[in-house]
Amino acid sequence: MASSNKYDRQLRLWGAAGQESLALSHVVLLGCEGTVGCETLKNLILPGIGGFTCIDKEIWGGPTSTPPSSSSSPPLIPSSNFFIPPPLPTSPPQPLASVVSSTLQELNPDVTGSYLVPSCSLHEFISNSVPTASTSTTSLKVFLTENPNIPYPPPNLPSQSGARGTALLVGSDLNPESSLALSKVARELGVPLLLVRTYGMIGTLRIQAGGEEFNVVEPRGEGKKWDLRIRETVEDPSSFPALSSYVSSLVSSLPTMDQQEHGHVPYVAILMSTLSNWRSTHSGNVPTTFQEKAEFRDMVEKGSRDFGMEVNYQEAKREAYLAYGDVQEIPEHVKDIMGRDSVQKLTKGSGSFDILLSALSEFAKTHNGCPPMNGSIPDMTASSTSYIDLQGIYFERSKRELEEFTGIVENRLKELGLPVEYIPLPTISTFAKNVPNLTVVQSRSYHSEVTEPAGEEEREAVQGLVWDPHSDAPVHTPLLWWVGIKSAEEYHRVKGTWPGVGDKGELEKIAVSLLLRYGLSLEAPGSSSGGLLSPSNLSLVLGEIIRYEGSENHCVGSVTGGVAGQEGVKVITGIYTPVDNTYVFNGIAGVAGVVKG
Amino acid sequence: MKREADELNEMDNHKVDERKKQHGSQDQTAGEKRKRNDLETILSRGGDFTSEYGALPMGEHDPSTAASKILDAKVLVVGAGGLGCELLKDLACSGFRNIDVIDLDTIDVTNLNRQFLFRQKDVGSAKSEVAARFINERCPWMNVKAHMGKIQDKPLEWYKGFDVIISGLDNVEARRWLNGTVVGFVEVDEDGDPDPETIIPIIDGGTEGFRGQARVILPRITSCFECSLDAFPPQRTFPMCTIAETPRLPEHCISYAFMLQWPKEFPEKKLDKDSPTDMQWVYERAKERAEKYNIKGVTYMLTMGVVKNIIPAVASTNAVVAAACVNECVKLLSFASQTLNTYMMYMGTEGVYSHTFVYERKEECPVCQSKSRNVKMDKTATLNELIQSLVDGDLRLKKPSLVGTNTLYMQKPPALEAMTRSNLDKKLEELMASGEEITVTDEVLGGRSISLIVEFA
Repeated sequence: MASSNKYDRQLRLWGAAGQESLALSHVVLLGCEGTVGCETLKNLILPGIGGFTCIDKEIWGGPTSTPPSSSSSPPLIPSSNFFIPPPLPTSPPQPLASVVSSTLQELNPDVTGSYLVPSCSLHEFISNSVPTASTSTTSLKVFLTENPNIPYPPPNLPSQSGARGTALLVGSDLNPESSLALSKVARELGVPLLLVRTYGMIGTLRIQAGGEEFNVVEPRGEGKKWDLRIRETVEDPSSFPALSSYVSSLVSSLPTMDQQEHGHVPYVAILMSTLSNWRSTHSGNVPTTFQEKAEFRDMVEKGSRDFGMEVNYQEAKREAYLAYGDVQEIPEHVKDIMGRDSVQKLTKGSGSFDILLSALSEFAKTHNGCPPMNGSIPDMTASSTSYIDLQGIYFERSKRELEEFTGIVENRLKELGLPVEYIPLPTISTFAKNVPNLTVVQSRSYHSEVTEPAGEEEREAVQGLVWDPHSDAPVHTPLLWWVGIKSAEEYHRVKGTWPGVGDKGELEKIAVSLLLRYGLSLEAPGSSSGGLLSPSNLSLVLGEIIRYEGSENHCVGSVTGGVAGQEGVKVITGIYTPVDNTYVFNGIAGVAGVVKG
Repeated sequence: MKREADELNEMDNHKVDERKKQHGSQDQTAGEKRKRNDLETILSRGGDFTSEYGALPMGEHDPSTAASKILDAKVLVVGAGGLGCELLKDLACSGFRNIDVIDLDTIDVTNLNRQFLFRQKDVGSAKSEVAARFINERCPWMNVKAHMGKIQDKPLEWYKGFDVIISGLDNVEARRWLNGTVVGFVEVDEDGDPDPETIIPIIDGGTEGFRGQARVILPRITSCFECSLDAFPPQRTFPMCTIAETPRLPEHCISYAFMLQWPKEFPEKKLDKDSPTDMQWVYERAKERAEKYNIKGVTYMLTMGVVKNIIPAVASTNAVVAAACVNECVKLLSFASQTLNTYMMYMGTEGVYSHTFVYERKEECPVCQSKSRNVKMDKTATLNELIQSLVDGDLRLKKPSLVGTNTLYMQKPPALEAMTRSNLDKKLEELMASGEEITVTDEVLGGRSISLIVEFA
């Protein structure tokens, strides 16, 4: 073994800062019986959260634990939940929360596990509805706010690396009534929440941010946007003199280069030179039409001595959009959030995200609407020296702009009477380098989803899914199963049980009124629209929901708990974009999708 | 949807009645708490989404026997690593009893962030044994048998003893071997129809960072692993000229140190990727080269990643993919729900989703189609050249052995290799007739052989 770090394989994904955020966090599991909650916790304990608390009211073992089954054959599934061993007749009774807490704790000695047994019912504990004085065993709110081990409220000052601990709530297979109450409390307290449920072959995960939105500063994954300023520099060389003069001198020696040198001119230079030539013959414009763009790419190719051999020219042709694409201004969706009240009117209580946005808006005023330069460049075929030179040119400018931006942020903090440590340098730097990628996910609460009319955004999102049915069998489209599960939850809220045989008519009524909330109705028989919301599809789905009658299938719990663990990491580290807002796994066909409800 | 009502009436009436009685006492009111419905409920009830109504029907669901099909099944888990640990847990919690698990590896400290059946004290022990012991202790109803060793070292017959094989492997070689072996078991009649009794389904999972896939292989019915070999290109490496002449990334410097400098410095010694001393040497040489070219970013961690081709791994993706695999195992044995048709992709980074698609059988698949393969060779080409073309071409063989009317070349046993070695340099026309059928075997194909017809150009 050449690495002694047991987190090596995941550090390669989220880095040291992400790992530190995990280590500072505390996860609270409400409802310990369900596989899906324990699996979620397992997938957060293994990568190294700081601590967790299991909360449940049930008792494990003792005389009542012997199954009341009248049949003589042993059950097929002695335990659906790996973290709850089936008790022996001799097992002394103990809190289920304690059993689960210790089987989970074993997974990682770095993590501190604990448990709590409410002295009232779990529902009362969640909804803070015990009339007498609230204590940490009768109220989730008191438990969260007064427990020294839970980072609540988040510490005023983050660590030097910018990591901040967070509390995360997980509600597992709760009574739908309790899910509702938990959603409300979580939003009031500003703590993020994952609601997980397994229902036969279907699993769901509902994510809710602590506040109104998730702010993702450093999204990783697909679609990274490079900040090369090719077009700006060609249009106005004085905006980036270092790059402009470097490329000019490189380009001027093109004719005298030998084969090896010519094939190693970085594509940034090729594109800048081609664009400059193009503008001189097109009244200073850049290619805009489809036709012009194709001509531009041909022009790139013609600059080559032997296109088949010169990989750098092939790369330039492939990346040509970098030359005629949009100027690297701050993207519209970031401009939108820069304009909102919480950024315009900062207070001492403002969050660091809003303060950074405010500083960004000031920075952009003096930089042609552009954010601080990112400074990193993609790999490209080049000689060692030209690539290193280019790297240096971008790095120098990004360093200068970061210093300027940091100065603005520090001024803001001073104006607000906050210490400069309020936003550590790594946080400022990460923010500044990722402006084109900043993501804000509006996060409606589950409580609002259930109790208030759907907003325009949700209506559009759900209606859009109707036109995206599963290609082989529309009935497997996750949207339909989302309707099925939500209808069952609603049924449970009204009747106190899951719908079973004979309850289909009732369930259908609920489903139809649910669709109506999103401006949808069942298609008339023979209708040609979409084909997804046909009465027969709905009937099939609800028939299957009745078949399941709230049953737990370990594998579906484990898939859903896997996704929930992953989304938990995203919420805690803030470096990936979490699901918006309900993930639905259809274990019949193996398909899954997201519904914004 | 009339069918549904009828079937629901037919299902275990006793159970329904009992449940009806318990309605209302679901929450912890007086007395005993009702046990939550579990997988057995689903198995024992008919519905509109059972196997026979799916895109890949496996059989007709019988609510009265579905549970026993799980109970009596013998399942082989190949690999006791990130996926394997999860697979064993999922099988234990889904009603299975008899499982065998095979893995050649021992536990490393970097496994502990996801291979959750292992603890610090287990580092250095056999993965299969520790995993089996843990499951058998935690789940006393389980009978998990551990096998430490290479899958290639088990007799082929051993694999015939399983109803389903689930693989959680991390490399293409082992997958090809297993696939070839299991496809080789299928008996095909004169019309080309496979005998269902001889088909053992393979459920194959794989992960990489936040992505993963699960697929169902019904040999000779669906596409097999070999049909999709093109989707697993040989590992990407940097062009040698970049590494040697124009390095610009830290990875180039690391590649230079371990691919060029190490063999030059230690011609007699193979680099031990697990030795901290060796790796430190590579890291330092890479750093020197990077400094020379003013390249930033060579770290020990990156050095490890490049040299060992480390793929990032997290607990959550393994959990998702393994559970999807065992879910398929439950469904295809019990017929209580539909079988994945045939490939599921899981994308966990942005807009988390899984989509499925039918991976089509490849008409020219050398493994799961019965057709012979035609190759044209110059009659003056040597046998060695023919063998090389099988290694470099799309068959991607490793060490092919060839038998025509005569034994042409055998890689092993050593005595036979020595006897046939002299054929390698002979011209093909000296060894065979044009159009002769030659049987090719290779370690990557497991128990499956390929029939090759060599025609002289």
